[in-house]
Amino acid sequence: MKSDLYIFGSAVRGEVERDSDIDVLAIVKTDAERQRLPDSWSVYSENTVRDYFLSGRLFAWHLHLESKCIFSERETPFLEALGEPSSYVKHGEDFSDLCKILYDSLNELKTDTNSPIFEIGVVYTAIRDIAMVASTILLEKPSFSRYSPYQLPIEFPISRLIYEQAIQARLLSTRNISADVAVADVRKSLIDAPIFEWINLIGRKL
Amino acid sequence: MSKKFANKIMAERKILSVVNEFTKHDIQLTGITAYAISAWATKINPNQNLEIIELLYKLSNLCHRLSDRSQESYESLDEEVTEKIEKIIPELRQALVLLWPNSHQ
Repeated sequence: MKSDLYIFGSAVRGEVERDSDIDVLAIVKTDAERQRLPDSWSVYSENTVRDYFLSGRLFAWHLHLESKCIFSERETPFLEALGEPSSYVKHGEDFSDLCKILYDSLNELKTDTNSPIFEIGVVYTAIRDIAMVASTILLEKPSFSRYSPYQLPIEFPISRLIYEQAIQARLLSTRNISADVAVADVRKSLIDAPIFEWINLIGRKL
Repeated sequence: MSKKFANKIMAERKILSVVNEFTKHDIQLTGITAYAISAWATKINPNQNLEIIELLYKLSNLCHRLSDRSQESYESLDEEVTEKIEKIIPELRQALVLLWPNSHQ
């Protein structure tokens, strides 16, 4: 094994739920290494990670603030050697791109998509990521929690019950879990909620 | 970051849309990960539908390549990969028609 291995995300935050898994990051040198690693792991080349740190991407900050090295053959593991990422300055651009993703998925739900679980999951992901971006400006420390929308100083207009269901929809789309999602109720709640009013309030502060 | 995420979402949406034209609500395909395909295959009896499952895994691998195998963020939507996805979609549709000739909604 030549890759540096890290865990990151919820386990490092101590934010563990029944459906939590352990996010593993492998930083590889070659494509051959990449092929041998489990599909469920996040796998990046050293160059990609270095680029992320140099360009100050939010994901670089996520790794910097919330990862723990679990294996490295180096004297100083790769991320630790990179140090602090450059400042995150693309919040406006990321916010705008994520709003478009959210808009498209809500529109799919409004027009009675034949893949509602997928779209509900994307809505959750976009909302969570929008809140993560906003947290870099509105909170003392960025939040990478799945519950980041509730941590912002702007009231999030979706109930926990519906939000949890949207999380389950995302997990159904991406992981090996069984979950019951009340699709019709969640769909209606997401369509009816004043999500874009919330977005506009955030946008004014960014 | 998110333009690439958006492109991947669009590719996944297109594939799901084709499959779910043929499925009933309770057996909708929910995602293009290996996990989601495997769960779906169990529901529809994979022994009789090998071609569809193989095509979906092929598409899953292509989508995976779009994301640099990240579960968190998505990278580099390679045009070549996108073209490969576009070429497989008609094959997928054909396999679905053969499997469920009367189910097209």
